[in-house]
Amino acid sequence: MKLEIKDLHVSAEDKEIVKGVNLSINEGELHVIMGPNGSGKTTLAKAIMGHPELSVTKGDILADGKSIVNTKVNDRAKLGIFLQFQNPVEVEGLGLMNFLNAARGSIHSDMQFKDFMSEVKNSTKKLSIKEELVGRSLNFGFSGGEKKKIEMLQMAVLKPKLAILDEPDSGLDIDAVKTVAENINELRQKNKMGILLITHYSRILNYMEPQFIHIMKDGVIKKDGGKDLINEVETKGYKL
Amino acid sequence: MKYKEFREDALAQLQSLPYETNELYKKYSLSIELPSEQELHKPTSESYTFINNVEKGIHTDFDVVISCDMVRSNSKIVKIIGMDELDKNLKNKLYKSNESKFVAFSNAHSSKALLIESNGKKENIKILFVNNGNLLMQTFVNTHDSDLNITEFYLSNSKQHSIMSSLHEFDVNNSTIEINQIHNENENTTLLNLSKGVVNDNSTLNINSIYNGSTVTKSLSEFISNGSKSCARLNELAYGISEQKFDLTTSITNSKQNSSAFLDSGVILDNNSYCALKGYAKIDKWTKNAKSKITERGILLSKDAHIDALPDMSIDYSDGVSATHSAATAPLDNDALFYMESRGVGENDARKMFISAFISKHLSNINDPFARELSSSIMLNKLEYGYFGKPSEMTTKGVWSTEKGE
Repeated sequence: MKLEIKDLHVSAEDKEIVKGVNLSINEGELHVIMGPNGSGKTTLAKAIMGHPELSVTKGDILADGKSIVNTKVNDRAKLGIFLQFQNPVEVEGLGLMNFLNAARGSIHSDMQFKDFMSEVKNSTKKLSIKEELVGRSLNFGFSGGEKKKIEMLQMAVLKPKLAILDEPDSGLDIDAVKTVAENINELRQKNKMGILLITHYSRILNYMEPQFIHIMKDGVIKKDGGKDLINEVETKGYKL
Repeated sequence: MKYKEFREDALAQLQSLPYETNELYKKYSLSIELPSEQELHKPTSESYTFINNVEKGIHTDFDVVISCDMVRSNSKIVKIIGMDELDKNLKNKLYKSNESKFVAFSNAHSSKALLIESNGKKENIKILFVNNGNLLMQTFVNTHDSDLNITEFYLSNSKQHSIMSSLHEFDVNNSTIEINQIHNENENTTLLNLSKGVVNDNSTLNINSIYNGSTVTKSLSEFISNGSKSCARLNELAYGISEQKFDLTTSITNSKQNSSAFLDSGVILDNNSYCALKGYAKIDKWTKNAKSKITERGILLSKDAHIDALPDMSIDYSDGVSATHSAATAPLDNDALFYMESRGVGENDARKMFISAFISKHLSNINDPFARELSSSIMLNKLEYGYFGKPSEMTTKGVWSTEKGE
């Protein structure tokens, strides 16, 4: 999938947060957005997925050349867009497997149940997720790190064409960061998945090969570059 | 005081307070014309057919069936008695006076009583109550050294406005008791539910009250954890649509050391429905290590639905007491819906999934699989098709299933 963001302006409750972002992500590319708190990174991610409380006031979002600004959230997911949440919601009483199976039914209705179960089992092992978590309510009572791994599990099962990863490394210990990064790399290679990764820190990028780095501040992308830009941020901070 | 005197006193109270009684009737639609003795105990073919269809539909045979015109019991520990036999059979009536107009109402009009007495037994009892007129029942549960699971399913096939009145008293000794009260009366019914219980040493009483039916539900419950290692655990779940109204007042008391008392109330309201949740916890003096908790949660599915959640607590001096209460009412969580939709689930399905999860969370407190599935089935029918009060087929596609056939 090719995702294009053209002069995107996004507001929440009449306050403009994203103020004209341009981005183009081709199949299999890994783009990273870095930036300080409050720069609009998460709002951009949610706007691409179609959060109902955000309004696109100007510009466009195109998936394979077609505008998705007016496309429903679940239909964007069916097109192959996946958002990994920074703070995944907890829903007590909704079994994680029931939820994941419903998602499988919506996005991959042709996927056999046994293949789904096999994918869940394999990914659970690869991500070092405790088996008992899979039998519990969706994210309910999970630690921050466990929630992030469950997001990765969902991504592995749903096999998106384009994944927006909003701080996949926060809340993870150093070993878990490596495990998560390796899983993202594998899915990217296997499924030619495009990735838009949002992070504050460079540590997860030590295990990945990003091609494009974008620095976002005050709702706009201030600077673009390659992997070298990460080192610049490390030394100078975001005062670029 | 003999039971007959209670009844006379109750009738006198109701007659002597015409203004209050009228107000009561107006507020809760309580008015009653009892059928004559000749009309009672004459089972009609309609009753047989209704009960047979219920049993077929939910794939079970009830141990005890009670309606206005017929009774049936295959249980050795359940006796069905007339109210005039109560004095002989019951030593410790907890409702020792006509303390409220509702109790007086029940004492004045009840026509039958169920007596469940168990000593050293382990039993699973299923009781069906069918309100096909004005069914006013009193149920007394006295246990020693027992492990009982009692499921009560309440239905109504009355075509005119009628009252389903259910008064319960529990005296639990060295026992573990689970009571599942599943209310699915039709829209012509006003439900009056009165419960009182004393949980003594080394005993646990779990009461799961599922309020799905009736246009008006008034419930008054009072439970005391009255022994060391005693635990009273009350779980209420009400789901209202249309003009359904629920008035649920529940009191829990810790009166001994090392006792526990918990109240967990959940409410889902749609359309113009209303619920008042009044949970009250009392911790008596010198009740070291007592534990008490009230949780009230509500989901509003429409702007016209309304919940008044009023948890309250009174704690007297004691060491090591743990007491908490909380209440939260909100519309559906938009972030949760967005999360579900971002995984491909449609808006309407995400909404149903979220409500099902809330139902499932509350029903998970029910240990008995039959009671859990039955409760799930009637509530999911309401969620899916927007009706209540029908003895519909019980599906096994409950909130725990993954997918049909898989």
